[in-house]
Amino acid sequence: MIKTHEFNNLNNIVNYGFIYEQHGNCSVTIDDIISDVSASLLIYDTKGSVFLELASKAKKIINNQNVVFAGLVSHTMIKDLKSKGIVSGFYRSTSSNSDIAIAIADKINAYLIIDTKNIIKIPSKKLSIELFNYVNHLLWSRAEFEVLNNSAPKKITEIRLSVVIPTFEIIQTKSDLQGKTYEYGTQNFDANQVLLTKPKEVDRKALLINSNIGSMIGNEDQYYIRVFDEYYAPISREVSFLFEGKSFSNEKFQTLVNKNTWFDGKDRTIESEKVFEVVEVQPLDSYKQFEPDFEALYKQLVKENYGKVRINVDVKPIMIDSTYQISPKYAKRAKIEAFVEESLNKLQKLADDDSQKILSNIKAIKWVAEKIQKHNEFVANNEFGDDTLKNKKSSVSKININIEDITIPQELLGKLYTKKNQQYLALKDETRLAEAKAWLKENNQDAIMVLEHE
Amino acid sequence: MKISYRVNGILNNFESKVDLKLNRNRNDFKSLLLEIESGKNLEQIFGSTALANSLEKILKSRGLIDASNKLTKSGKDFIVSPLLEEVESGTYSIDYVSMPIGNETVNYFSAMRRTISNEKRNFSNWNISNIVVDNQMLTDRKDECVFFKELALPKQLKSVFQGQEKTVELNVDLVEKKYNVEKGSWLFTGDELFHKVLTYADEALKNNPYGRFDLMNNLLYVETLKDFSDKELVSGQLENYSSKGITVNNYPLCIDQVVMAKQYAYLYMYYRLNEDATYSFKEMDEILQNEVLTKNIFTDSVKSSKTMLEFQFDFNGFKDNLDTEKFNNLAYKLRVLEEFLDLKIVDNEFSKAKNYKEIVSKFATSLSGSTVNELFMVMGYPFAKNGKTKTSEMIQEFAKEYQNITIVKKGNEHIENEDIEKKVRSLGVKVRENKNIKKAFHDRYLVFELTNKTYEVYLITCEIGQFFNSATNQPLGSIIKINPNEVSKDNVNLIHLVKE
Repeated sequence: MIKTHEFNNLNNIVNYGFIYEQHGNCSVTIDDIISDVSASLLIYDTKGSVFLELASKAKKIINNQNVVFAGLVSHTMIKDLKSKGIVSGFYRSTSSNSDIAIAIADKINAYLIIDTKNIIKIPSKKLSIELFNYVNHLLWSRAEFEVLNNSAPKKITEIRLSVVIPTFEIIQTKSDLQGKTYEYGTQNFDANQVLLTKPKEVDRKALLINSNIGSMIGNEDQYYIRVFDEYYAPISREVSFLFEGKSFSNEKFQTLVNKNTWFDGKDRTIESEKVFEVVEVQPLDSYKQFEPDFEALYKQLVKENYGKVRINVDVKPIMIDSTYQISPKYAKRAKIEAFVEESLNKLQKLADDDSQKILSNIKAIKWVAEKIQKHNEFVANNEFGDDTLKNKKSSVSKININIEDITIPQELLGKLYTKKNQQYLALKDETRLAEAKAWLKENNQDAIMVLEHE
Repeated sequence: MKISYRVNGILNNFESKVDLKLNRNRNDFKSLLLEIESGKNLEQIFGSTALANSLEKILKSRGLIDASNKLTKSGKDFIVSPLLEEVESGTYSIDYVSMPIGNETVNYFSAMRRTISNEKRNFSNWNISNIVVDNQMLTDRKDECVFFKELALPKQLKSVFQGQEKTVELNVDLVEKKYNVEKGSWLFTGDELFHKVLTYADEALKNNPYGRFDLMNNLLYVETLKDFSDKELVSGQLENYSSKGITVNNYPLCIDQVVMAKQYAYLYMYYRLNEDATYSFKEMDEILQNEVLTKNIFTDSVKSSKTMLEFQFDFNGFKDNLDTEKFNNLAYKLRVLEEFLDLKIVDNEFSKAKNYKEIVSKFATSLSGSTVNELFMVMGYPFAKNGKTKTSEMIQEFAKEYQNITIVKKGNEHIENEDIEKKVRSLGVKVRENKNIKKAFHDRYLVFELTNKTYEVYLITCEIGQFFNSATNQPLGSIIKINPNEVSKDNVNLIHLVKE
């Protein structure tokens, strides 16, 4: 019996959250960088976000003795080069961490590599040279271990400061940027809209940017991205691929349905409709009248957000299964019946002729309660000779039993079961429901009515 | 360096009455002459006229003082080499050695004793010829050696008591000019024996695979660099070569051909770079000028040739001058250095200076002499023996502003010009060396210790004493102010090192 209720959440409100947007990847690839190289490629990537992929794609360059492939990486990475199959090239490791990976081809063509799918080609030669000069400064003045063509990592003990930090003209320091007002900025700046690398609730409008970006600031036409330390490089090209989502507030489910969103602390997608199917079992005599508590079921079942939720409850009678045991009354009753029979047999051997007939009558009684009663009466009312008394009578006596303990219904009516100290009366179908109820009442029995099988 | 001759010879002995002429070391006479030279007269010295007169006669007869009792030239020479010729006669037991030198056999006396042996000896003819003179010989006086001059038997004697011959090992050290017999004490050869062995050595070393040995100047003029080991080329010395009893060890090489000098320059730098060192090409040029060209490995004509004075390392130079295997070993590193370690002169207030005066005046604007307690100049080649070193000119300008200057030598290998150091020291500059600086610091620095005990540190990317191109007066490097925290790594601190 199916009972249904529908909940409509479309007008529910989400206070604050983000909608993810997919702008597509940038057009520059790792292969583009590699094809730009004729004399050298210098990669600065201490996070190791792209180094291995770039090195594996740059095998041609690495194996060309005329082209210098140089990597400024982390200490962990430099120890692992051999095991990663990188056996040629010039590598140094540094504790001066890169913010995003930088690759510079031929000392003048720089690329900012956010990740392998998001690469910004720097159009300005001047900026490229500034980036190169700084990375080159780190390479010679801030490195701790060196690997040259598959050698073991060698500690650089000598302090060389002669490759000096360049004077930046294009690259800006944090303090250069702090004085001006910008529309967008990561949380280390005070901008109108905050740029976040992962969603969280803030008190302003917020945009999500690629999570590999450490810090960024700017307006629609000009952004500055942190490249290392507190230094920011301008990226004025189309960088929409770096933006991955924007915040919303007080939005109805209706507008968020089927969109990739974040709210209440995690990524979520509100499905437009969801049906929950529930089966509810009730005693055979009352299931038809049963009314499910849909509010309670909603609370219990619905863990996510949905535009509409329909709960279908299939109400069925309780059915006997292997978890129910046949009532012990059946065994007890069989035992008592045998005992009465045996006692009567003994009495027959002791009794005189008159009594034999009475005993035969008692034996013929079908109802076990009556049979016991008659048996007990017989034992109480008859006396035997002294000898008999001395030798035999001691073996027969009154049978004391609570008759309810062995009361069972007729097999045609139903069968008693127990489960967890509860008595169940299982019927074959609903036709003899009234009769069964009457039997229970009549025999002073308490049992839940269930169905024997479908 | 060592040049030695080793040969088996015969040691014999004779005993006889002889007349011996010897040069004996007389330090007593030397002391006396020193006193006379200082103005004292003999009477004052001895307090006895008789003793003074007697000695005066002896000194005059030896020509050591003149008629006015002043030291003659011989007298002055005697102070330097106090050898006095003496004649003595007596019965001696004398060792003599027969030493083969090529086709010739020379004889010389190696020891004399005033007591003769007890053994029974044959009385045979005295027939020792080709006797070398002026060699040192041992005597039986403790620690006394004399220089042999002449030996003669008394006229009536023709025979002497001969001892037993014995084959012994003889060694001559041509550098120290000493010989020994049977690994005994080293004694001076004297000129005659030395020249005979030297002439032989010259001949014996002629057919060698390396080049021409100049035993007068102790140089091996190299024919080709191929036959030398890596270590020999870097050290500039032939490790070991023997021929016909002559052995040379650690013998200095000399290159007298410009083409080979260039080839050597590349080989030298190959070994330096192959041993982990990292230099920019400009730094390699500086090393050549200061570490190689100051050595005697090149002849003066090579050093002063236009090619070498203007020599600059470059990638193709390595390719052209090294063999393929060596070049291939180094090629990638060279490409790295060429590509990434191409030091440019930083455009700042110092880059426009044309002379040291201008440099000092730039410093003085922010660090006036009165605020500076001491200036430490950490230098690689402050007194390098080459025409490019202008340390004294540099110091003259700095000393005008800064009273207290110390040059701290980093410990770079090079040959120094003592005159430059003397001149610098005469300007009141202290000089010290701390080789630990080179181990930890690649660059050179000026460390200003201020009167308030704080420090300002300037990095110099070339030698401050060789800062300007002599033709154009353009700076060859940069002077850059750096944070003093940067000159410290792994518990090594430059400021501590300059003060050690």
